[in-house]
Amino acid sequence: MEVLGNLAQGFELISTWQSLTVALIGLVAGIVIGALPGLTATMAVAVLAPFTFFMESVIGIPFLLGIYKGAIYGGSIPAITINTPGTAAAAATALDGSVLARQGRGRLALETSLVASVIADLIATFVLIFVAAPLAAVAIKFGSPDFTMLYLFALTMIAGVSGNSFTKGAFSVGLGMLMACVGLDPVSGYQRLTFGSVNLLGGISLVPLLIGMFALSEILIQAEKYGRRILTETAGDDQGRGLDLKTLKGLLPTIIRSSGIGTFLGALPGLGAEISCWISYGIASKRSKKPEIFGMGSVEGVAAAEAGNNAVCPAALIPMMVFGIPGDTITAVLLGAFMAQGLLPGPLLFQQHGPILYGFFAILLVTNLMLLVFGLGAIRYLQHITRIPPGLLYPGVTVLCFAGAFAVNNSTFDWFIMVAGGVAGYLMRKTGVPIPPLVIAMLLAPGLENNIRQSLTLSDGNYAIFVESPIAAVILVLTLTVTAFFSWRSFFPTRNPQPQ
Amino acid sequence: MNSLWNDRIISIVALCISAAIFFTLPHDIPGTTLATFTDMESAAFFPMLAATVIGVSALLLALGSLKERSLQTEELVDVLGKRPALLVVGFSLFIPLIHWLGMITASMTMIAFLPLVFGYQNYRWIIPLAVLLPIAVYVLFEKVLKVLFPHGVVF
Repeated sequence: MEVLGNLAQGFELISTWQSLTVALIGLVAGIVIGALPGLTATMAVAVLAPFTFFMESVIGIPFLLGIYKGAIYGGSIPAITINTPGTAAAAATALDGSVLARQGRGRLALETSLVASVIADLIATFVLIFVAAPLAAVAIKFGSPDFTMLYLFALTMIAGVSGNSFTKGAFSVGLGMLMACVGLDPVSGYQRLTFGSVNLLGGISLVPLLIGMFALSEILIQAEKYGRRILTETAGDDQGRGLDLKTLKGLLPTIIRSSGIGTFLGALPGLGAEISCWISYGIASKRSKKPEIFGMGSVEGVAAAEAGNNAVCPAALIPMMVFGIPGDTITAVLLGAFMAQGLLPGPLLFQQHGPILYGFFAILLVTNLMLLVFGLGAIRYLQHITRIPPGLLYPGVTVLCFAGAFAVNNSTFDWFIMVAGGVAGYLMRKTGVPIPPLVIAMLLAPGLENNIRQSLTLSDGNYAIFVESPIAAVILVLTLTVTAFFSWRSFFPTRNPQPQ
Repeated sequence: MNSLWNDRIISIVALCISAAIFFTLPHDIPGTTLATFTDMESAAFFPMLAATVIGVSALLLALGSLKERSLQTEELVDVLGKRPALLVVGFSLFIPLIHWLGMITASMTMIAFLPLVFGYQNYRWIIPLAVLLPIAVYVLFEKVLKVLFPHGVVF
């Protein structure tokens, strides 16, 4: 009951025209960006995050949450209409959605995708609301050795599940940890890896780096693809009938099951919407009464994939808010935005900024309603967005990247960080080194280092402190187990190809 | 896209990064030696830990690529394509151009030429975008958000 009371306060806090308007603008911007092939949800949040630094947290964060939610949904529009997923999370949606569109049932696919997204998001948001605060109450009892082990576990998981190689994931984690060391040591004040540059004394500026790694690198990748772009088969203008109540009733068990899968996977560090959509789709095809039509125009397939990827959005906020561990790359960028607003994610966040957090939960519920209303009204027009030529799109995005990167610190040095991040991100993607572990390690490394030092100060340098606490010991065993598993998988890969 | 050659190149780059960290740290933090690695409270410990993670993963990656040698065809992926290389040069030139012409004028120039890299030449759309977007960015950032962009010889 206390949760409901807090939620009511949250609604009161965000019931201003500024918060609601900005959240709606974010949602629409997110849908538009997500619907543009080549512009990802992470890119959308990274490029637009600097705008929020000039707003109050109850206005800025709803804007980003709106973008996040809109972009994940928006990715399904080109997946269905032109068989090109707008975001990686919508890849599974394209399998059946595009076939439905070519069969003249595009409107059914688009509305199924919308309704499944909204229901899944709603379920996951309620899980977030009812789980996050009690979990934070437990997490507040964690000591520095427990947090040390938790961060190590998160980094191991992220290295293991991102990309196809654990060793490349570990390399990326190492790079992220190293980049986090740049600047002044917080305890001794020694300069570390600054190479004498005063611009690096405060460390590597996070948001320009993220803009470079996610937005500029994407532009470079798209520039390369452009020369050998294959024309995709597009659906006709006749999109047939929409989703009726009878069909929706038949889809509900699939949507609820996929929402559960998405919520569970989203709450684990490293497992984002890209993985959840495939697992939800795979399980739905196994449990379906008509598994033979999966891949040949199954509405159930669209519902499963979309419910699976959208449930991840609120769920990924659970580890971010409670432990300060981002669930995926988008929440990593959100974590940066939270920190810029003075909201330091972790167990104390609920004690220090409880009403604001419940305001964010309320905005997640409100934007869900907005998504449903806006989506149903605008769905037939949104598909035209996919026709904007990349030659116009990317130059515009480039200018926004430069403007956004500068706005963070009013520093021209940040442009160099952004361009370097863009080139590094491009090279990493080309060589199969995953970017998410680097970004997440960079965010977690300061916390990891502080907790290691605090633990050793408490124990007078005795390393046994890391196994004396039962929580730390359990997490250490878990970490060693997943390390062994990922190492085994890396050196003795299974021959079954995974969906890309 | 991945090939064994790329894995080997990544391994070599990673080992170089790892070695460079161990080499430069004693210059940054006086008194740092290899023995510092066991002192978790030292300022050098965490960079050393990161360098070790990089070094060990590089060695494992190199071992893995040697193990797979007979199973895959060896092919060096074209790491930096022509268009991306052209874009990187463009981005790098854009920064001094901003200092010279100013953010708004440089952005107009950038938008006018960048579509060519993507093979888009319809100037009926490019010109309005090149004029309107930088003005919109100027109004939003300078007038609304009060972020002062660098101004140059033109604006």
